[in-house]
Amino acid sequence: MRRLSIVGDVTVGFPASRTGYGQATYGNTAPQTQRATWIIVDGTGRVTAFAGKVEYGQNIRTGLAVEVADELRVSMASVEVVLGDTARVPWDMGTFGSQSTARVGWQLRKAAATAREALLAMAADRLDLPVEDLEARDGAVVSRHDRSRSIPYADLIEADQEREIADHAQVTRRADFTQMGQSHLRRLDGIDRVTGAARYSQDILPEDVLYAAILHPPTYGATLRTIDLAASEALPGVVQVVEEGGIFAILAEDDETAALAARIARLEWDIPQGQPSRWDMPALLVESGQDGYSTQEAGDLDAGFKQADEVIEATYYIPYIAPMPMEPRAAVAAWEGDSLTVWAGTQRPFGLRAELASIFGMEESRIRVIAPEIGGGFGAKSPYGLAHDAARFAKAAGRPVRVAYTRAEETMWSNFRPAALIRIRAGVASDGRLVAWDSHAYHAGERVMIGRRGSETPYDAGNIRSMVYRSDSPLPSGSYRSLGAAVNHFAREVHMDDIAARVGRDPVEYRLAHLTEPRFRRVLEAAADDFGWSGPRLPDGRGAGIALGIDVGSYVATAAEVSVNGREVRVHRVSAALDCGLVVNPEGAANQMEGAIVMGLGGALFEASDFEAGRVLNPTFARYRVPRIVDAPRIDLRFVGDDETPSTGAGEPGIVPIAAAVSGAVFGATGVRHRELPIQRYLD
Amino acid sequence: MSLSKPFGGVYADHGMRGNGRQDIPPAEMMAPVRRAIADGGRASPDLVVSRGVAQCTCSRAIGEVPVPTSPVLVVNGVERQASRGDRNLLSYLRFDLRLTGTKYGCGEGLCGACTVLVDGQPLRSCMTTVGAVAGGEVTTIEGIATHDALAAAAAGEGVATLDDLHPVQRAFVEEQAMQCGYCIPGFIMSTVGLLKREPEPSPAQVREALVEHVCRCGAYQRIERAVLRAAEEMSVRSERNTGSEGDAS
Ligand code: FES
Ligand code: FES
Repeated sequence: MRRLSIVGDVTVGFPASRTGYGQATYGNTAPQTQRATWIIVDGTGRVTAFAGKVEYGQNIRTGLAVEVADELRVSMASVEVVLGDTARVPWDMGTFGSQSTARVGWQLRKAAATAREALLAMAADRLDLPVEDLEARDGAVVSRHDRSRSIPYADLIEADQEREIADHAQVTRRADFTQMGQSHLRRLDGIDRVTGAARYSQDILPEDVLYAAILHPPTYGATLRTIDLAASEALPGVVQVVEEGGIFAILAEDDETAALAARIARLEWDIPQGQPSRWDMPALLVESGQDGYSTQEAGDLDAGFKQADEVIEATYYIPYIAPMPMEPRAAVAAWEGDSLTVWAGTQRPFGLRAELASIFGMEESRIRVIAPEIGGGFGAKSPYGLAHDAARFAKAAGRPVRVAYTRAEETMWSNFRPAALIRIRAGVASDGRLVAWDSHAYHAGERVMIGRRGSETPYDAGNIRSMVYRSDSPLPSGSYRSLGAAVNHFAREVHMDDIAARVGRDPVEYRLAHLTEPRFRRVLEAAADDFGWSGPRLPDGRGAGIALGIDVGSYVATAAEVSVNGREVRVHRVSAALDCGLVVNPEGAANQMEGAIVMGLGGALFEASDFEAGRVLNPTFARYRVPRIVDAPRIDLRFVGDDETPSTGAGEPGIVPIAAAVSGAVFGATGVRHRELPIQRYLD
Repeated sequence: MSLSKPFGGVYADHGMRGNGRQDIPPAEMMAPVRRAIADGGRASPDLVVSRGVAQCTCSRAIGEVPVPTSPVLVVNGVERQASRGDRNLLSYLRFDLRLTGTKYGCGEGLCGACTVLVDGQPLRSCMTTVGAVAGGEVTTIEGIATHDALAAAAAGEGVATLDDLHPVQRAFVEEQAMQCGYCIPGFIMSTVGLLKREPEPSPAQVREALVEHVCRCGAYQRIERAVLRAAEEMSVRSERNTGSEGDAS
């Protein structure tokens, strides 16, 4: 079909090199070609937008569609967004760090504006009218003076054409948006998700697919001593036993046969002794801390402490928690000759393609990775090793192979939010003013990067040092919604509450007295107002807490009301204010904020991954409690950002202040300050 | 060779037992489950599958499972003959019938992602077998809206619109009660079951009915709103229907 294609540079989408996170972590992926098609307007007037991002619940499909629709002056229904398919979309480093999404959105807006201008120019030619007299509206170019003179886009596209994204393309001003920012934007894919039509990675079932069951060791670090697969192999329906890359797996004609064969396989393992257990963590974090990195330095710390009348010092501990996305990872691989197609619910399809290319020593162009719908990821679904396994098994079997994790496998063989221990010493002058702030954060994991995010204090203490260390991690640690930021915020904000209480000041007033950044002040005041803040103690033995933070460039403050009944904390309501600049899709952003708050409540109140001698003790919902509908509070949200400020992320910031707000509220209710998470474990 | 399998589905990870439960769900959360046991499951028939606490009120599924060789059942209105009675129902639906709208989330009855209706009652399909529901009528998320347009859209012809949906599905879309959406089919199936026995549930009843579902994305506030909205729409609709029947007579 005839089409107008808008092409442009692909290297716009990766996270700010300011943090270096994406680069340092996933540096093995690089674009194969520098240019790719971003937008196509075809001969029927339909618009297709392409982006290398994946959809894992953040509603990016709708967010991008509305941007393109507005720029091109078409209805959202006529825009299709193609995501996460390496054969079709521009290269992308991966879907993480909310900023990257904003950048891709911006690139698509420019591409759409380029398309619109190209269409206007074509129409000017055809109608023999000056471009200034024309406007684009409802999928057509129309004369401003004579509405009857118009040409639908479809008719304008007479031949295949290609245009480069124009840097000077006139991107639509906020005031002229008609769809963007509307609160009742319906999700593009809503219907598919309520009818079962949406295909997730667990749902990919090519003809003739074999079901794999991997023979995982019982602990981390175990090595295989003996293996006897005779019984497994004899089971009808078992097609093959494979050993690839040191991993044994059963391939069978159906899922249950594979699982059963795996269960009756006889394996003996050598389990390394002396692996740290959960109770070793606090000491381990500090003792193994290394590569100290200063994220913030101001004034003269010694001088600050000398001025101090009182020094308030405390240690905060946050255990590992499991992302537990609703959909456990799954991958399907199919070879056709020497070409490979892999479906995998990964946040970085291009990264996976590069890994596969190096494993099999083949050109990336012969590999296609497709990320279908993903049932949640929260940042954790970047590593996707089981897709390597699927590809290896499929090659060995000569048939498509599906590897799908069980809930327990998903927990144990993916990654956890790193445990952390944070020590803060603060100096307070006789008038209550902060004069020194010395913070040392030990985060488990190989990359010190993990702990940097959110480690700077926004409070003006004059003399500041904030250090971050990386410590040994007995569990695989990895990304998670807002990562170390949520952990760093917990410590800092609880410490601020503690100081305010000791110097007899109100937590909101005390914070404001140390905040100069207007965006921080605005979110804090908004959350306090909406909540009806009156201090930590509320009638009927309830408590209130409040905290603020910044993540991925967005400012956020959250207040919570709780009651404590024995070992149960009930969060009754939450008011949160977010400044993420321009809000493109308010419903979508609100949904993300609510989700981040609920998720954060789990980590605040009851989530912790327990482990002992290399074994995760609570890998399933039976032992790992996640927030349920009865745990969800009423949530009131307000967006206080300014429309002229570029959009920043809305999916992650919600999680950063919530645990501290809850801790403050529990203090209000009980008089006990909680510096360890999850709080419910420390109630008696 | 036939190997008898333990009830509960092969996905339950029995090999991973820890040393004691640290986080027993709160009393309030488990109350509906206990009540269900106390009254034989009549009050909350969808809250019956909590591992080790209660199994299934449907007597067919309790205890020793009879294994008919090729059980017959009706799935979304179509009669099916399964080749094995001991096939896990969730696996049968997803892999044999390719009805992948029903999801796997835990395999041990604790997340609700796999919920289907059996003879109109919500049931965790991961916890039972085809044989256990033989002779029954199974409805999955693909089968609750019987509109032709939806079937056509599912077959890749045409586009489904909101009007083609079941009122519960529509309410979930209207309230944007989803993020990744993976948990949503399960929530919808339990909601359909709830509204059948309790057409005008209170918010507390909604929470109680959905307590055994997990939405890791945390869309609970919206899910609750969607259920209440669906209840309202359905009761308005049924009033209207009763009214017009009255007119006609
Ligand atoms: S998969 Fe059946 S309840 Fe979780
Ligand atoms: S919408 Fe993702 S788990 Fe519920």
